[in-house]
Amino acid sequence: MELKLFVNDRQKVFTIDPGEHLLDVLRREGYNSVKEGCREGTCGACVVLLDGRPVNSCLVPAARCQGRNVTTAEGLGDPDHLHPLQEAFIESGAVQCGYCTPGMLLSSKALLDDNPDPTDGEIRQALDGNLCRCTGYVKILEAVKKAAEKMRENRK
Amino acid sequence: MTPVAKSKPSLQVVGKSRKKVDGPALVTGRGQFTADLELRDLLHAKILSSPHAHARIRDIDSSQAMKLPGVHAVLTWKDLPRKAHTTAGQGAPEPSPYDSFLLDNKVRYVGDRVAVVAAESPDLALKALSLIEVDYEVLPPLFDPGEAMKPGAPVIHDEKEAHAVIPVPYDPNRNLAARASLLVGNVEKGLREADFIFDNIYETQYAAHTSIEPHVALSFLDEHDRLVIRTSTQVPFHVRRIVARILDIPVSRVRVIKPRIGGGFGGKQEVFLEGLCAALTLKTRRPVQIFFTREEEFVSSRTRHPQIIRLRSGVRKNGDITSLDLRVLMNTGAYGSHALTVLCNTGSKTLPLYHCPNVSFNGDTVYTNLPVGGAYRGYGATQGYVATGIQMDEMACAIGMDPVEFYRRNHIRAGETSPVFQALGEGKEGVEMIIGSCGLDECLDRGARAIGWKKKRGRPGKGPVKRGLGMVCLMQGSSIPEIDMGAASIKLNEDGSFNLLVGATDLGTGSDTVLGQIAAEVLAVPLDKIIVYSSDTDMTPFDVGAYASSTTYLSGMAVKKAAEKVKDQILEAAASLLGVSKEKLRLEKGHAVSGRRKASISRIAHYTLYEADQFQVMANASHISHKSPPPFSAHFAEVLVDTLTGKVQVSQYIAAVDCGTAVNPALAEGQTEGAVLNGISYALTEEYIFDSRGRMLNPNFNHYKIFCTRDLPDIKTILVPTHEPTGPYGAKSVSEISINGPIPAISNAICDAVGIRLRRTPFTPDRVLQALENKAL
Amino acid sequence: MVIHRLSIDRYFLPESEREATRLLEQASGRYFPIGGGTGFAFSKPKNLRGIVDLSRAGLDYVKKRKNGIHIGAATPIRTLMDSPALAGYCGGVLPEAALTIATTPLRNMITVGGNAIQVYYWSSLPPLLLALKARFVIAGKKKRTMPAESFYSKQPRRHLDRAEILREILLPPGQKGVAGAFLKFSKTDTDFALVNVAAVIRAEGGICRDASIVLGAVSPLPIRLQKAEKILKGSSLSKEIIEKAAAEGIESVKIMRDFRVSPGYKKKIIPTLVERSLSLASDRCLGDV
Repeated sequence: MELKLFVNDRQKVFTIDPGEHLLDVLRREGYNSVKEGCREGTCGACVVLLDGRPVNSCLVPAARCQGRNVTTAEGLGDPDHLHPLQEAFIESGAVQCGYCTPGMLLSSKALLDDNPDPTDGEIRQALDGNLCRCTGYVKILEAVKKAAEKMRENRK
Repeated sequence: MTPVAKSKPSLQVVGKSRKKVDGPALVTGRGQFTADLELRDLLHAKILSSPHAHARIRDIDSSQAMKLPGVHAVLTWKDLPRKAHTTAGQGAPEPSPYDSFLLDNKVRYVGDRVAVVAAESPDLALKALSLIEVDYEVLPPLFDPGEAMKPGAPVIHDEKEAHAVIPVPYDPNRNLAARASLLVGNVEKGLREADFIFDNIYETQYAAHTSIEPHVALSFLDEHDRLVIRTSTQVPFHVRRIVARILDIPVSRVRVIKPRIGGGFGGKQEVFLEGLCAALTLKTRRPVQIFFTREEEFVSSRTRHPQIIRLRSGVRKNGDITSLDLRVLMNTGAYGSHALTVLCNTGSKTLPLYHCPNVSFNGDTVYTNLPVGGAYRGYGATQGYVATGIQMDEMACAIGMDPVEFYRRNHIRAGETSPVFQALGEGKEGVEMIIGSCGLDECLDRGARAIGWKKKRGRPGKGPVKRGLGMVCLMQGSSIPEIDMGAASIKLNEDGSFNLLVGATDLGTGSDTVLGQIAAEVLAVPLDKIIVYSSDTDMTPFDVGAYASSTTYLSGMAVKKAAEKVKDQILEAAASLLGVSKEKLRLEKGHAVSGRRKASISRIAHYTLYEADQFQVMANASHISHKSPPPFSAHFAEVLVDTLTGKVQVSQYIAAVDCGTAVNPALAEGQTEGAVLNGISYALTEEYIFDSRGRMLNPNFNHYKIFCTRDLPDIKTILVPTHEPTGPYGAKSVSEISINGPIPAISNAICDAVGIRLRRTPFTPDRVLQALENKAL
Repeated sequence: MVIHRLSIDRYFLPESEREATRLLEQASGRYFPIGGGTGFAFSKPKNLRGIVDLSRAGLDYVKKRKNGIHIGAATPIRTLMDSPALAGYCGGVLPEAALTIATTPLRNMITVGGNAIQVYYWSSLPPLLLALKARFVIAGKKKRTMPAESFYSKQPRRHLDRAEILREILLPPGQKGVAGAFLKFSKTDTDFALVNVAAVIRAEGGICRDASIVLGAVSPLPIRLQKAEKILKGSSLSKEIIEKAAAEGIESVKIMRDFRVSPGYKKKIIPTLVERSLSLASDRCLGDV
């Protein structure tokens, strides 16, 4: 069947199987930032934003996304035009192997778009579905705080 | 005693938290991981796994599976060469027994491999698996390591091919996979001389690495019909050697590439997917990918070896430790990967920490019909410190001494040695070593102060939730001396940039960056002038791979040496270009300088490539280490114990670490924080739950719990600089040591809070509550 | 359980409840309705040929009316945490319980209806909805409303025929003096519950008029602690009475096997957990004068 949707604000038309999940469709179409880690909605490596909200793409039926807006890490920024979150992650040492990073960035973006001045508790809650085994999360939380500050400054 | 020297003040790149060279690629999602390579005609492979813990395969019929459209190959033990090998990624000859086959006609644990299918989609491959018919002869299983060596126990490796390739104890007929021992002095005499004697049993549990990227391998035949393997591995050169051997093809026909990988922690210091993947590619002549499911990660990859440890020790009232007698029974599961070396490290990375004239170590590793142990960060030391770290605290408390003072009194110091270093190596004899740097006292000072040790310890408070503080001292190692080797090569480009080629393997640890920093420091250029390319067996020089905490210390030294040779060539050319003697020249800020004469490196490059006596400025160097200088660490934990539910929460954790010079402090902190959190969930919530038939009941993140952001305690890292003379710019290792702290520190903190000694992990609420009740009885 | 692809031929996104039930009627059991669809991670219905996705059928809403709060069955769990109508309802017990469900991305997908109707023993909403005395509106050939007590008398899906869907959950109107608390006990914050306690108390003039105490994760379906409720009713909600209710209230409760911990362990800690949630509910209740 045909799936018409927006990916990173660009209109796309994909041919999909009705029983497929968003993770597989996105990867097949070249969005390799979306990672497979468990296929059970428990690790968060596959998190994308669906109309701005983080979801586990391994569990989302692709067909459900008809007409909707999907955001992947590719849509956040380019190496020469990084999003403040991407910059902050690099500066804070929040990226080790990088496998959880796309999902972490998207969950963080959804948080900051909704809540530009989050408390520590709110940041922890927003990222509670993104597992990381490398960093112990310490620098990831620092990076989100740093990015939030930068983004608030940019708005002034 | 070697004075503790801080890093030289003139360092420009080393010692700075430079941004990771692969940072932009990873944050934009452009980093290429193994499964991100799109190949036309890619086939997907799936492995049929055994439902039985112990069985012979009487027959296997894959004819129906082969008939399924879209299925290109089905392989069973009948289709593959029978070459005994070890899957352990270690240097040859490996110290692990050769007891594995690509596919076998026997299965030895639930999850063991039976057959493999390559098909046009993962779903098709799974469907084909369901059509394979297997006739099993179920055999009695062995699950209890304590029963493994008793007469009449089922023999798990009864095949004639199983053997050890180095002269070490190996007796598969008694299920003995490895044995090691050492003796210094007289432990019984030491116990007699003690004022207090302790004799306790400790037990550590299975654990999974839970790299967020599962094991994945991709193989294809290139235009020259060479086998190219792209794989999520820590040991590309061992992969090449082992795969070539077991498939009977020349090493020259194999190329192994490690792209970006999503974590390893030791789980990928193993060669168990690549051989099957390659066999399928050779059979079908098509690219094949095997991507493990999360369940396969838990059950069919590798784990941390569970151990049962008996530690007897004696202490005098004045704080002298008179005797340490460590006995280990280690469970390697169905195959003996790392069976000897993890066992040895249990003693060799713990016992030397303490001044003690009478030390004994005896360890046996046995087979069981359970998931397979492998390399896991800490590598035996993690288990060992559960015993020594808790018992040190017990000894200190018995004599009324603050454990911090107890450690200060008893720990090994710079300038000292321990007989354990020589006596317990990794399969062959160990290497004598004098400690070159030790910042443990400063770690103790700063850590104790940061957590409020004196103020808070011994004050559990009122109410059902009690607070406690506990601590532990640790050491690890840096590389395997005289055995492992790393090499690097560097060439100069015309714009003054350099290509740094290293075999060393970055698993996300940032070694590409750290090694780049070392090269940049020698060559007096900023990091962005170094283009790092790593872990490609065709292009990069040899390196054993990322294990034994060796990359910074060992591979880093190779990089430094190669860079120094290149620097020499540059200065030579600069001398010619500037008409100045080489001795008067030095490299500074990207230039060769002598007084007021100077030339940029790019100028010199142009000169050497195009102008006169043209040659490629390029050099390579190798390094073997002759010692394994330990990083040292003091960990402090504050816990809250809910005495009505048994739930333990870590509220604060301080890790003070001496890793010599931290080449990149942010990355060193990152290693520490990640290791600590892994250790904390290993202490409190991670466990394998088996049913009575050896099947794991919780092979998923739903029921195998690692911590998320909401569970994270307040973790603080304190880097204590020292200077290790044999390490590049004074560096030692940092990647493993901190995973060893949480279990003993938390157990000791629980004791401070509620007066119970927990010696069996994990400290789940039900176990803690039971222990509290037992104490009350 | 790993999912690759669902072997279905059709995927429907009906834009009304009527369209949804009509599709299900026509399919004679071959189609399955989903809210978030996350349940497929645990089990898949046999002979599944099509999916009827309710996310656009107009069932995503929270409406405060005189007769109570109406929550559409396809409302994501996350909305329970964000909705102003629910923030102060019954002491804030709904956002409190919502936070115990899974993780942020899953809370954007799991629906209130899904969590209410597909009862896993660790589920959070079923015990709370039972304690709140919610009512369940079922749509299909004959629209009907079931009280929680009946709804949770068996696996709720078995009340519905294959062409029916749960369309709405109706909570009684908020009242002064009524407050609840929800407590999940688990090894980590996002872990499945080892024990859930939902307590809703109504008090007037410092006296407990009514109490609803429900345990989750100790049996396949949530169970009310009627003995404990009786002890509390008419009492001053003093510390001693609460302790008594917690201790005696679970005496006859039979605790199912759980592969993670023994029933004996749960039995030991339940009184503490019940006491803690009762204290919390009672504080909220008595404070709300």
